[in-house]
Amino acid sequence: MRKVKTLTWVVFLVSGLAMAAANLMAAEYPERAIEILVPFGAGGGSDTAARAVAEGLKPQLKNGVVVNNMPGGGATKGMLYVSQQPADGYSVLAVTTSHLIDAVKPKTRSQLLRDFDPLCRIQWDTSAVTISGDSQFKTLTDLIEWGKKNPKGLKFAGTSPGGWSEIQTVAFFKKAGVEVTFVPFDSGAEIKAAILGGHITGAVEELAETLPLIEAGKLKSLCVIMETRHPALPNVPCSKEVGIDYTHGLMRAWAVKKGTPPERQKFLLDVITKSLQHPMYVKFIQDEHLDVRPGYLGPEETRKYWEEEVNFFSGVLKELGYVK
Amino acid sequence: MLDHYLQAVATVLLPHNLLAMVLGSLWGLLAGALPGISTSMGVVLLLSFTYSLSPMTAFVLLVGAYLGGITGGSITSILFGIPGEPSSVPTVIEGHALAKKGRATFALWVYLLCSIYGGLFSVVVMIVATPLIASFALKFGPAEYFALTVLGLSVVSGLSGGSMLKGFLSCFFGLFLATIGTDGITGEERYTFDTTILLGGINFVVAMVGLLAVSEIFIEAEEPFKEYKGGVQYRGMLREFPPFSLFKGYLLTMIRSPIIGTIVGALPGAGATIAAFLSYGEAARTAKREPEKFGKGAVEGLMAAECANNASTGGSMTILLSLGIPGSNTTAMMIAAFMIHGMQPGPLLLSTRPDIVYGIFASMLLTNLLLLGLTILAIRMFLELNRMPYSIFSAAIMILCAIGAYGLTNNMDDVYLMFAFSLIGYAMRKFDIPVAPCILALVLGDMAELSLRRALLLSGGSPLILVGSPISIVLLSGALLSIVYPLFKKPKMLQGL
Repeated sequence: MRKVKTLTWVVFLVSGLAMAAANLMAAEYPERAIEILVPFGAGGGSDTAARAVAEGLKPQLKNGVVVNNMPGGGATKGMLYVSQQPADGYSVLAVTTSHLIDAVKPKTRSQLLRDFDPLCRIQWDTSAVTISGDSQFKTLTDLIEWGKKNPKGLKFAGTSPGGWSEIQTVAFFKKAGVEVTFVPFDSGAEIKAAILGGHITGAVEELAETLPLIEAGKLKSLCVIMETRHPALPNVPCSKEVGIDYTHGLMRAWAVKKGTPPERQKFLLDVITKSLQHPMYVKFIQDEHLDVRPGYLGPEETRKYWEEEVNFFSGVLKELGYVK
Repeated sequence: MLDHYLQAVATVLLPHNLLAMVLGSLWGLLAGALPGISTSMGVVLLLSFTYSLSPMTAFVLLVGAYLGGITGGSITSILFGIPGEPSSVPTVIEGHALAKKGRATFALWVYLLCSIYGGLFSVVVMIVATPLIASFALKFGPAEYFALTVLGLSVVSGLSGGSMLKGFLSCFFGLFLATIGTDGITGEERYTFDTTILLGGINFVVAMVGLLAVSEIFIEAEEPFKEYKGGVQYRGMLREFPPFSLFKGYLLTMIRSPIIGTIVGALPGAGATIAAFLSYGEAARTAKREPEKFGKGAVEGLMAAECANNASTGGSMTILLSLGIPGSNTTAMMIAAFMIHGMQPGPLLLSTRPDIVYGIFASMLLTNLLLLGLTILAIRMFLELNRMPYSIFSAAIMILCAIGAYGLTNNMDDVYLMFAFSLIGYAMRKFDIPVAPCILALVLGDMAELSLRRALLLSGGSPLILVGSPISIVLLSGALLSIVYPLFKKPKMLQGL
């Protein structure tokens, strides 16, 4: 009996020591899975982008990576959540332009520029002015001229009132000297149906989403908002070409809470940069035409880009009357 | 054309595709029947498994889960009064009332046969008239959506049971709930009290699970020591098989309901839930025989709801495959599946990948037939659950409700909200206020408000746009009729006003 007791003690001691040793060895970051928090629902643009990068992260992180969705509050709910986690590099926020707009007048206690350190920008999307395929307007000039004669007569749809969608629509047409009516809808699906049904004039939206309908001739694009023509639509002029000085696009970046140790930020940046070279990710951005404009920016450049964009948005929001 | 279909059927019947169909449908039935897991969540959970499958097998699997989910939602609705899916709420009202009268197996048969019939009807319509449905759905602009929601809301009188006053009370409470959260037109925050909990508004799944499922458990828990005889009494399945003459007797409902379902299913922004409510409301409004039975176990109401919610699947897929526009949450998830396999759903899909499009048609047809058998198995399984002591069963359901609410957005806030709603639901039941009008108003309220304001933005403020098209006029006069008609016809309905 005594022997058994001693044996039990020995087993306890040894396993205890082994566990302690294992803990010491595993103390190297990351010792558990890294959470990528997408502040939008599953299946959307930000979600598919984050999951594509995560595929490339999986082979590099032995404890894995988890993509979680937390939609709500125009992407601010998820941002607030990450800002409330410890700054230990285990929670990464998938940032989009929505957060830059929120930074002008934060909805929650969290503010992107103040509370987060950027890791890198990963994508810079292209938008286009899209109208119905059988619309009376043949070129952007037709549309602008008609719009100048009929202030507020052009009805353009978008998804987020006071957000990216409204800003890019109103700001683009303002540069062109036209005042349009912005009509917010709940989803891109409803907008496409409303354009096809002739209920609204058109929309300024990310190009990849509408490309299948454009290729089929159901919709047509009058102008792509970038510096050069878009390879998928070589016959459509770009905004610079038609003399409209506006090339902003939706951006996606990744960030961690401010105060995360620099060596962990460096580690994350390295693994993310590497996974952007992963063949699966490369194929994904080719399919989605996200490789048309170079998306990648390092931490310093990303912060500088963010600050410039926030300045720009703050001006537009003031003109629209959202901020006093 | 015909060999396309034959080839598609042959592909779908390959052993590995058949296996995928069976597994997908079983998973869908389970996800649908459990209150916490919605059909779209069921499809999302399967998505990550489809990376390694061939495209056809992947779609057979997902179609199975989609159709199974919409079908499965009503089993728990009828047996336990707990809706597995939002689209099964009308089924809870009529089906569970029938079950309480000892006709559970009869209600289950009616539900099953109508579901399969509705599903097959919409697939056939889809195969024959895809371009027609798509172009009709596109005619719906903000003004038409508004008219549709008004028609939907006008059926409150049919959902109210005894007192119209209480019905409208419940309805207005639901409309109020729909105004909470971020304003969809101005981006302003409403009734959020500067917290993030309410910023995104109240998800109607959270409200529905709390108001109907959890509060039902509270009510049952009031009598923990009553002699237990099983949840509901029922007779053997074979003895309760409904005769053909039953369906023939409700010919109008049987023809109208799947048509409503298919069209509403094709409208982006509407979907199975609104289809079920509208069709149910139409049946309640035009019921010639026993209109007083509505709310207390009307077979006709059960038929209307079940035909329509299953028929919405064909409508949703039609608009997805022909235009690349998702008609519902679940089909929005399917877009991700197309992208995983390097395809873009849109008008060109039929010419670039006809095999996939015809394959999806074929698998929808075959899945509906398969579900006839599988659902009988599922029903038998759930009937066994009925023998389990309710105290144990209800605890399991409560856990599922909490998980489901959490799983919507991975957030505890929704769980708190769900429990808050369960208390409200309990109080409403105690005061005999019907819960269904509140859920209907919450589902439709947001759409009604936003489409009205969108329409007025488009017209520059002129209300004439609301009656600017034949569709709106027909829908609005239907709504007017259903509000005015009972006032003249049956003064009894006004008791309590």
